[in-house]
Amino acid sequence: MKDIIVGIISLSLGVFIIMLCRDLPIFIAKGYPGPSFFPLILSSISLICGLVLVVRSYRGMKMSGGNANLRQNIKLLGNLVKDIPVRNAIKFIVLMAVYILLIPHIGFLLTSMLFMFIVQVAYGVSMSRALTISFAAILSIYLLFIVVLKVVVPEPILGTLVFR
Amino acid sequence: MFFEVLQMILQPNVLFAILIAEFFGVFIGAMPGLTATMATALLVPFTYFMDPLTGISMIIAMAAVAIFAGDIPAVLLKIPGTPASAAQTLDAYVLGRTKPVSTLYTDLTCSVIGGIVGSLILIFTSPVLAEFAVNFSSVEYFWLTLWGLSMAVVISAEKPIKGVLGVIIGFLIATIGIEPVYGYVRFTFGRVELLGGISFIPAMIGLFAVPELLRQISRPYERYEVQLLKSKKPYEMALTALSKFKTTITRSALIGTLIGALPGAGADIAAWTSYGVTKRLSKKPEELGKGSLEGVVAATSANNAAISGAWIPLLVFGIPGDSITAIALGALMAHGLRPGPMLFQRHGTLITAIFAVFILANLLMLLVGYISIKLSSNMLRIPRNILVPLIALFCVIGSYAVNNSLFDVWSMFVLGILGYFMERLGIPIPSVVLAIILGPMVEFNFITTLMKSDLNPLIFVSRPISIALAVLALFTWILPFIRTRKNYRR
Repeated sequence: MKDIIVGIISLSLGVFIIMLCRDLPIFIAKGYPGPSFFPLILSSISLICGLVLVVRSYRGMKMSGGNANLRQNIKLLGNLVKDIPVRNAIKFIVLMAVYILLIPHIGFLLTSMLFMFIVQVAYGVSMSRALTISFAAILSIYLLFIVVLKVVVPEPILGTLVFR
Repeated sequence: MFFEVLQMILQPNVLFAILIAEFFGVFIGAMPGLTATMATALLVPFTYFMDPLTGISMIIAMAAVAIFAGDIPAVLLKIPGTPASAAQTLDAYVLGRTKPVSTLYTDLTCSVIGGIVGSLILIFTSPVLAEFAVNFSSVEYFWLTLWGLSMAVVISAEKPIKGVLGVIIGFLIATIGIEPVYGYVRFTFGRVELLGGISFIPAMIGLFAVPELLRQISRPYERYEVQLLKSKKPYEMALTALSKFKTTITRSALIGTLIGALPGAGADIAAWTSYGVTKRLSKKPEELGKGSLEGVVAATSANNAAISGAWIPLLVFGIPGDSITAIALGALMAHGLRPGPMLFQRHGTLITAIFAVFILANLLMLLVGYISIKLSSNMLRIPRNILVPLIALFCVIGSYAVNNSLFDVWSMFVLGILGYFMERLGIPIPSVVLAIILGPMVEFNFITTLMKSDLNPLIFVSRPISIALAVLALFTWILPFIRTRKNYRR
């Protein structure tokens, strides 16, 4: 099933590259390769790989049970969304996206402390422990990176008050 | 020159940076699932704030120690800390059940020897190769970089077609921005931030660190409880290994360096190859996999030697030998050091100092390794749900620090998610990374060669070296497909 998904992605990627290259010349001047020459080679290879993967996976599925197998695989794919590791990963992706979105608004240090605290609590650390660890971690980052190494971190739009 | 170099590497700031990097390497390497590559990606942005020697020294020292530290959970928990420790895990764990400290000391000793042998080969071969490479034109560089890309496919030999797809994705990422030959703007979707392309270091952090964080956070939490049993003579096993298996250690270090020097093949492949060769040549091959000291010695000498070996193609040709040197390339460029044969002429003293750091870092590993063995049981107890958000903060701060741009942070995040799903689908990330680096070089050298020859394709096979490199590249492209076809027929 993985191979068929990769095959479809590969085919889509090939088509996507062709669409991106529409406005760029393949050859220029005396017939020298232009800016879309290499991307179009990539697109052709991607289409060939995708086709090989889809055909090979389809043949494999046909040999090992045909449509019933396909239905079972689609069901398995549906169950993947309910899978705990996948859900945990998605939860983390959402938390990290919100964290990055908030950085320019409330600054790196405060957002990072909130992020650390929320992630720890969301994944089973007790509130008091999470708070202590978050505070200690941010203080260490502040001292090590901002004070010692002079690393620039994003500041809040409203300017520096207590936190950067 | 000798005293000048000695003075450079013995500066307190360099020594302190090496020690800090080594402890960081121990910590990341010993945590099962967190790799030396990820540690390098996290470390590199901070080296921008240091002088070139200190920054590069940190990367060298950190990588060497992280590879050794990966053996710690292999010995104590039967879980390799990094992929490079997987080959000896079975043997090391069986040995470690009764004598954990002795096994770890043996591991450390062989790692140091492997690292030093690899470093010596790097020191003596690189300048010679660089003199040879000075005569390379765009034709040779085209074939050389194409061969590098081919290796990216070979390292994913199990499913070469997915390796090819990884190369396409990496190449496509590299085409974003201003095109290098004519200056056309490609695939920027009107975003000014993309004119310079996707920033390399945030991309590396995203592709290597974020998928690991997602993997760590997604699996059920296990608490590792380890007790180090004390041995009466902890160094006895290491001394036995040195006297009994000196040929194995030397051979493994040589294999490790050679494999490490191949573009795309890293410490893990070096360890497996050396383990395989040792099994074939051993007087007691049946013992390997069941607690054989020879097996531990073979793999652990090779993986550390590979770390030094991977710097040979990087420094001489600008082609990284593994994922770690792929990231180190970004650090070198950021410090104004463009890898290639001219590097040895323009920055001779600095390069000699970097070579000396390889030896120094491996020697200091004895001290840091000793301390880390003592602390290993405590390190392994650090819970994942605390470590993961902390590393996520490092990812953000590291990505931002490169250009002070939140766009880079988003690039890191998006590529990280892409990397996670690519891994789940079996698309190898090292192939993507090698293509990001080598893709633009292939394109640039191909087009400029054709322009120079006024579209005469025969120029690509007009010189003996270019013919040899062309045969090598084409053979590497075809080999995995032949192998797969054979397996498919079987």
